[in-house]
Amino acid sequence: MVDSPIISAENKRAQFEAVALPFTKSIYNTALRLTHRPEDASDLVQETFLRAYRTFSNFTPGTNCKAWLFTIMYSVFVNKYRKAQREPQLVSIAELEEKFHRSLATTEWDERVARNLTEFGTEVDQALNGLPESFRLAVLLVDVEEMSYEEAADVLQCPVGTVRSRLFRARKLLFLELQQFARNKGHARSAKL
Amino acid sequence: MAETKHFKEEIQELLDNRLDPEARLEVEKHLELCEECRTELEALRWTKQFSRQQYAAEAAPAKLEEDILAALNLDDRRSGSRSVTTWSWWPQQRAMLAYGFLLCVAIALVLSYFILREPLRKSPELVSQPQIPVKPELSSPTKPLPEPEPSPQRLPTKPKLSPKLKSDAKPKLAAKPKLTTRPVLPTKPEFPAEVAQDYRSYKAEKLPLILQTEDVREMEKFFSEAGITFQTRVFDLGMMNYRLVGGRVHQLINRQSALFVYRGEDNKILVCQMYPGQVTELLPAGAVRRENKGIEFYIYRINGLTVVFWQEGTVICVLSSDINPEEVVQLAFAKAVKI
Ligand SMILES: [Zn+2]
Repeated sequence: MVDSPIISAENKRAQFEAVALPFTKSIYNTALRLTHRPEDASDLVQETFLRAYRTFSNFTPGTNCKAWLFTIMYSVFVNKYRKAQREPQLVSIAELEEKFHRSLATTEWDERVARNLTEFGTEVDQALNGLPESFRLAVLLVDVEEMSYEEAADVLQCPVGTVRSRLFRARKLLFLELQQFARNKGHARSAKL
Repeated sequence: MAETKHFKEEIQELLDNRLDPEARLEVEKHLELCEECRTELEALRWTKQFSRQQYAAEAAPAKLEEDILAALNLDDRRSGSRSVTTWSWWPQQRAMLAYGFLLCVAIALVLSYFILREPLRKSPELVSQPQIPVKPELSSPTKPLPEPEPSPQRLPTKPKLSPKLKSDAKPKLAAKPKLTTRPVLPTKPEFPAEVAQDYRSYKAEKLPLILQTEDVREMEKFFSEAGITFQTRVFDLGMMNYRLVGGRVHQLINRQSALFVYRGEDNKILVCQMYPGQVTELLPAGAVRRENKGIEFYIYRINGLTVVFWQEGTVICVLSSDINPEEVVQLAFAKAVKI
């Protein structure tokens, strides 16, 4: 009974609420970090759940509901919410590597930096928002939502290798952004004292 | 190190646990010798961890869930289905079945305990040491305990369950008297032995899990709702092919502990516990100490089990299993975070 893939109209609603609704928070978080506007994010999430509900009979119980919801959300986002935009010019991978290693060699980064950074609350969001959308998504899906590369690739409808290479750059870029943020804050603070 | 090549993608693959054991060993070997790659790994690990903490979902707007439900209601009406109650019959039916089943198991456990216990009382000399290395206070039959009902398995701590957690509580077991004051012990109980004991109890199905879930967040939420006062961090071991099974609020010697269990291929079992304290004060001598990413690990081997302790902030984490000892250590290395 429980394992039956057939979802009757009777229990569709109950199953959907039990299986899908717990992900509202996660979906909203990513939606907000994509749209940057709470109203847009709420609309996007609502539409996601409505679409998911309508196609819930296609969903196989026991499979990955979270990735399925993210896939729907991302496709709605791409089709309706993404502003026509050009991805900012990316630095070359060689240049990024060079910067990353220079930063590792010259700055004192350790857990103290992490502690200092968390003091700034949502201000640190700037660092993530500074990443190109595709890189931001890689971080959100893999590092924040703890999806596998394969799941993230399903959501983004791209090859696994693409997820890997985006993540490869994204983390380094984010690291540099966070270092920069910490440095600015550090300066601001010592200037105040 | 001039002659060796540095790793690039492999460092990321190591961080995300995507290397096969052979490649992993190779990269780890290199890391031991190469500070540059080590620093890179640390920076990336830090960044990953930071994202996980800083950018994780907080709360969605309170109204959002209402709006979603309203949209679903509208859709239900439009599609002409009968007004569906949110709570259809089958979850209740299921819950009742599960409840009944658990009750039977609980009764069976209690009965089997009394049956098994009888000969022990009559001729203690004849009873060979049970397979499970029982804790000192329970294994010495010459020293009867003042408590009339000593239980061979750990007594479940009172499950302060929120009503949502329905059928998984075992009322029969939970109702048993709790050893609030422990008898004076001939020897001080030690954490590694206790953890090993808990592992065996779980494996012998004598340590019920109060919440069964594969969802790490749900597990964490359960712990905080069930009254665990410290922050728990339930690991996602999916990449290592271990699934969370569930957990319970537990008692480890005199400390409240969050206990959770994973299962891997071939029914391999890992039991993890987190409890407040300092490893440097609470652990007995005899540990093999290993360092990884600046964290000190204390490894004990107890009757075929591997028990690995480390510190995270004010919490002690311990991983225990009867699988390959090095695998336990590597899992601990992979999941430990320096706080
Ligand atoms: Zn190297």
